[in-house]
Amino acid sequence: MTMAAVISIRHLTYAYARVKVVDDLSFDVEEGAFFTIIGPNGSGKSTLMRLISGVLTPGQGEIKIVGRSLKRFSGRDLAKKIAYVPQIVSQAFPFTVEELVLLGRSPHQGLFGINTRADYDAAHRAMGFTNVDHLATRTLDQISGGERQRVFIARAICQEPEIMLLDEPASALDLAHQVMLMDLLERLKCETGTTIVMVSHDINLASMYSDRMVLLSGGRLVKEGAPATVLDASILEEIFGCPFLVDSNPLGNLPRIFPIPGRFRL
Amino acid sequence: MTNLSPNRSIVLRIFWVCLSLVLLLAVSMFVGLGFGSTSQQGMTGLWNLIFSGDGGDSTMSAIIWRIRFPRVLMAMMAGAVLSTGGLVFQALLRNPLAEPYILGISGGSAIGAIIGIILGLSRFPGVGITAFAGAMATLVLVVVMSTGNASLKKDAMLLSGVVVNAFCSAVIMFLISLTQNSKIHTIMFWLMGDFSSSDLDQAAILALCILPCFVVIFVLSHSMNLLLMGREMAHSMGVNVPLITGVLLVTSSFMVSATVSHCGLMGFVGLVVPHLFRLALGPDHRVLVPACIFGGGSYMVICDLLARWIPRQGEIPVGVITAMIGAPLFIMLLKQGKK
Amino acid sequence: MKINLGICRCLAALVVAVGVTLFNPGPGKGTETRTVVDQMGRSVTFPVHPQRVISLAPSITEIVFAIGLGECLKGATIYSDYPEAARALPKVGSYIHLDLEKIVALEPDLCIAVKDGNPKQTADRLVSLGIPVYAVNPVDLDSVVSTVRLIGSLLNADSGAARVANDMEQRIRRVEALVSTSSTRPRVFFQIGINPIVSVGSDTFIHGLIERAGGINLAAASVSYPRFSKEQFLGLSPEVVIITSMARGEVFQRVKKEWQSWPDLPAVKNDQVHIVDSNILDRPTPRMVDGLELLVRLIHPELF
Repeated sequence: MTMAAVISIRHLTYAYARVKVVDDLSFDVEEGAFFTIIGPNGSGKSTLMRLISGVLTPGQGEIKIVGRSLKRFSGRDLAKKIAYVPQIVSQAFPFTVEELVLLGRSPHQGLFGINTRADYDAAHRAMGFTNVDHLATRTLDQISGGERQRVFIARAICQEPEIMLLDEPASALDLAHQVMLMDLLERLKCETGTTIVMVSHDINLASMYSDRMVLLSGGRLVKEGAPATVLDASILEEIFGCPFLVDSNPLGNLPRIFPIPGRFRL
Repeated sequence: MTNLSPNRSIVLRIFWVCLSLVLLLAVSMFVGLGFGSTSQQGMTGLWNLIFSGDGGDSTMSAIIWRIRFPRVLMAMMAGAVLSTGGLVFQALLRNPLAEPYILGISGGSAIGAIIGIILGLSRFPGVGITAFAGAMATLVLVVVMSTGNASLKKDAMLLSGVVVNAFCSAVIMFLISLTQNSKIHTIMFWLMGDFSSSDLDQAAILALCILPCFVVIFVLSHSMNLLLMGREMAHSMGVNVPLITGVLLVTSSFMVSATVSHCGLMGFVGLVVPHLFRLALGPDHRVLVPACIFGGGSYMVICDLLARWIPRQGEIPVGVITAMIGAPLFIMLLKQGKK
Repeated sequence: MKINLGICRCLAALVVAVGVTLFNPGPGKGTETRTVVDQMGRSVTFPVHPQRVISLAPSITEIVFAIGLGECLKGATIYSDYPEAARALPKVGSYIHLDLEKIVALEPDLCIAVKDGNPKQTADRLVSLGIPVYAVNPVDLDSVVSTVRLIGSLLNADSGAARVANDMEQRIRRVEALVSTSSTRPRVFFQIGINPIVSVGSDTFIHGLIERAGGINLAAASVSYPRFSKEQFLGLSPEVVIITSMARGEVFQRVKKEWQSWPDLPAVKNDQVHIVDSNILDRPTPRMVDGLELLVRLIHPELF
């Protein structure tokens, strides 16, 4: 209502082998927001990601990207709007960091992928932003997990997208690197206005950065809104099947949740 | 800002790779033309023949141009096709063990060829056509078997290919056990790769089939780079994954089948040559495709040369040489890769 | 990049065109030629007096030497081992896998091929290289005799050929006369393969020889080389068993011993298990008559 919806989802349904993995979802993602999708395993988070990125075709419902139906985008046009950072990428053949980041420029290039001066500059800016430019000539198997994730984000930045989709980007990283990664994403959002849409398992981490969250369960939308609204103890208990304690994060006006271990329950 | 890797211009890199490998190809072809079961005049005679247009001994000329030359041409094309085919399948299936026969082409074409030989058809076009038909049939079978389960797409094709090839092996054994002695020799030579019956007509037809395929694959070489990331990532970077995969699959299978129909089965080329160049030149397919075309061609010309030069009498089937060189080479590459 | 590919192909095509147009050997200029139709229906043009002949099968080599024209042979296939003089000839590959280069290098004015064995494709290639190829097709003993006369006419040795052919016919008639005096027709099993057991069918030379020598070929069937299991062999109860050896004597000795361990076989009871040299039986040459005479002795020992 206030800002333009950069992703608009209406009655989205996707079934696989007669099971509705995503069931009648409707929500908006506003431009420049940090938007997180949370929920237990099997709630349809990854499938939702794939539907938004266009890899899967919805059974029913509609997705609109910057006001235009997803179906009406060509592959290249969509790639200029949405960049996708997966959880893990299996690397059969290692490229160097620089080569990989440059691949992100392909939606803006011809079929043969010749890199111009502008492409090199964009890649270099992205690598500087994510602090991996000192690794430019290393191959992917020579760098750490955290560095690898930053390389993939650099590649995504090169696509110059309006929206960046990330599938549990921090789950394989240690605590310090998790925060570093999220800080990076926040900086990206603030400095370039890129909309961040992220699937996350770590609800506390997500709540510290998100403007809005959506909670899924069994493919259905349970709650959508600011973290304080979504992270309600009774809703969480019903969805996750175990009691939660929700209090206020001492760092600021943020909720903080704890699943309650057995011996602490009444 | 200054630590970008050296060799920046991809066009320049491709040019230098092409130049050096074309040179290698030219040299190997020259040596290939100079060697044969009647190497009387040796290299200097050959040089004069080609470059000073000196008719000299017209018999020698006939031998060189009408017997050795088509053979060397066929070897070059077979090497180029098998290497490039292997490269494409390794990229499409994202599996370093993929080689051009992996989708059942070897089994199907062998069955087709054996049936053609049993029926008494001539090597060309008779057996060539039956072999090609066999290859296409098994390809369709593999693709049909593996469609449906979208999430397993990549491995489903590989597994179907392996299963179909195994089944075809059984059928081949059965057919061989039925054949009369005189035809077995012909069948064996086909199964081991055989350039000895090459002539210019065959070479021209093969060239016509494979040249457009090379062009298509080269144009899509950057897309292959993107496909290496996985289907979802490639899609998110704007690649029309089903279309590009389909085109590459059909093109490669077509050119490999056409080659195998002419020359029989030669193993290891499609597995080893792409790895060799990938180790030397990096994983960028825009460089690897021309490298495999010219480098693979040179490799096969050299193998054919050895096949004719090593034995005192007759010749060793080329497939034996490619395996005998390819296997140790592959082991060396594996060790290199581990360092 | 694509340009490089294109340029290479153009260059190759250019080189081919130059090579093919400039260098094309044909028969020597100024020699008289004749044109005949060979036994495959192909029209063959070659010099009236061929000086340089290449034999594309061991049987052809034998025939050419037999009619006295050994010196016009300039090359032969690997297994041309009879007569002794043939071993010295330059070798041009085996008859199923001819070495084109060597043949062309020997500059023949005529090649003589056999239909059964030489691949047609190779023969066609030789013709396209300007080398005449005449194909003969002997299928039984009588056609071997006419092949001898035929080759004699090709090489202007009609008298030499007639001598050999007449001798062959005389000896054949003598054998037939001898056989007609016998009242029995023994059942013969002719074994050419050990594992699996392979015998000779109706459209082989050996079948014809067996029948002519007064025996019954137990393996007469539509397939040229039918296979038998041991059971089937024993079930046939042959009265004469002839095993060919192709210079691997000990192996076939073992087989003979094996059959002799079945004392109920008629052939074993009558001590009629023999090993013979196959070269005189399955090569369509004058020596085939030697083979015929040998078979008569084995099958009808009572006539001698």
